[in-house]
Amino acid sequence: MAGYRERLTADLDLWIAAGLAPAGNREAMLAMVAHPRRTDAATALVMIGALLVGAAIIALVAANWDGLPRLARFGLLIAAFLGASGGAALAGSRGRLNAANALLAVAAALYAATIGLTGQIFDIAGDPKTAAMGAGLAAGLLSLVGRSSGAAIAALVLIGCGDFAAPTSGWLLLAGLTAVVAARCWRSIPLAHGAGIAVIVGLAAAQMTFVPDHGTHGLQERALVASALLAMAALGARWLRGREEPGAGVLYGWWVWGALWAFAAAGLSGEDLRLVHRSLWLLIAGGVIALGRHDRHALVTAAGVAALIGAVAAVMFDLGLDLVYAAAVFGLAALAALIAGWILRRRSAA
Amino acid sequence: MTRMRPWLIIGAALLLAAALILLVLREYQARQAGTEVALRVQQVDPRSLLSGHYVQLNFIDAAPAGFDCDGIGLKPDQTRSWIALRWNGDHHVLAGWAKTSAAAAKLGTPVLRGDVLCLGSTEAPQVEMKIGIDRFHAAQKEAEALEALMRRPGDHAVLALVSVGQDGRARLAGLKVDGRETRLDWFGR
Repeated sequence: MAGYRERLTADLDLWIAAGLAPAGNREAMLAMVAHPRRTDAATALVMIGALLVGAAIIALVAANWDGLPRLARFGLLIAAFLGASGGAALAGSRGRLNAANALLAVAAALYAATIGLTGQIFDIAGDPKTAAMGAGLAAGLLSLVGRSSGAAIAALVLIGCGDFAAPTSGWLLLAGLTAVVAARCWRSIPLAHGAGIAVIVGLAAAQMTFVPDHGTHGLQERALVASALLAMAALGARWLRGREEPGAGVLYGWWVWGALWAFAAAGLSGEDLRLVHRSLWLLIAGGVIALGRHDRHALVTAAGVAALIGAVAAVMFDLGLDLVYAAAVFGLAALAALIAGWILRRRSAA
Repeated sequence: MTRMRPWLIIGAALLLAAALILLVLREYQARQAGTEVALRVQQVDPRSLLSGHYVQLNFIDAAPAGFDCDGIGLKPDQTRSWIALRWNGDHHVLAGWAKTSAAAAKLGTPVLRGDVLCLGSTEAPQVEMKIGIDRFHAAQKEAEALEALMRRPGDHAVLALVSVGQDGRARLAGLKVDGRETRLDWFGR
């Protein structure tokens, strides 16, 4: 796949040939675009060597782990955590922001492992939920002080693990919403991905925690409410995407996925209104595909396609061999799609 | 990255490391300061693929005479109660349970936080004490040695040495198998 510089060079030559840009400016314009960074063989070998040294140290420690006194094992874990954090600080002070980000994510993971292993080393009985939440808060602190999207994603994962450890709690939703703000402020696309998913999962955990369970109908209602909330959030993110807010496009995509998933889950059990649910599912899936194509958003289009496949599979599964019934549902959905397309075409022609 | 940020990272890392060290020190201090009891342990499984090598600890013993164990299982009003122990020759046994520490202390001492689960049949009821401790982690060789010791024919006395703190929390201090003690200390393995 050609890089931006290659594509610009080709386009520029076309514009010069068409007389749209002066040929004398070609070199000056291209000089403003940096050459993509390439890793030479020596650098690649150094990186591979460093990775192998790391693997050798881990293997050596693992081989002697049982033979080490408790204090030495604990000391090694603390040293590894402080080493990763110190490395992140050093990398950050030298302007190597990607390395600092990665090392802070490693430090967050090491701290979580240290909490678990400390309990094991000293036989300290602890609550898994508290341990996961504590590790999540620590990762959150590291992400805030180091402005690290990697550590923030680690925090979301750990808080999510804590939320689903019995008894369930709703902290992931709060953490996910905080991560949405952080992703916007830090202009971090990876964190926007993590935040988008965290809000969906967090909403499910919060519903399980705070909304009383009333059996199958309760589950369906909860899924429908989640679907509506996520659809509204997706519309908000779509509006922000139009204003070119950083990360809004990613959130828009994930929340469309979440809304469709929750809508599908609302009809997976129970007999009531099944036909209405399946018909709406097909229509919504078609609408989302059209929206994704209109917005040129691959994640939204993919969500629509996945929902369409799911809806068709569900209808086929529901109806068994009743193909006349299946044909009626598909026919109605196709007719609705054709009418909607015709109306849109007429409106754009006018 | 601003000039301040690397120092913030170092500060946060030191704070987190200090929190963990403090936790270990406090646990060690509480373990040392507590009253030590020896509880009989049944059933051991010295290895787990996911959690490393450990000895599973189940505090099961015969129900004391007159103990209210008319049904099997944990009664709702028994959760988060207080357990009273008493000395029985070579180890501690359950003396009773109560909703408050003061009420439990009238049945026996020391008292610790936990639940009591009734097991077995109504003719020969057994009780399992749930005191927040369920395993003793050991190095591979230690775990294998413990396993070999316990698999030998004959009745083996396996005792968990538990420290009961002022707060009523039970903390594992070691394991005693046929008189051989394995203690949790700083320099042990």
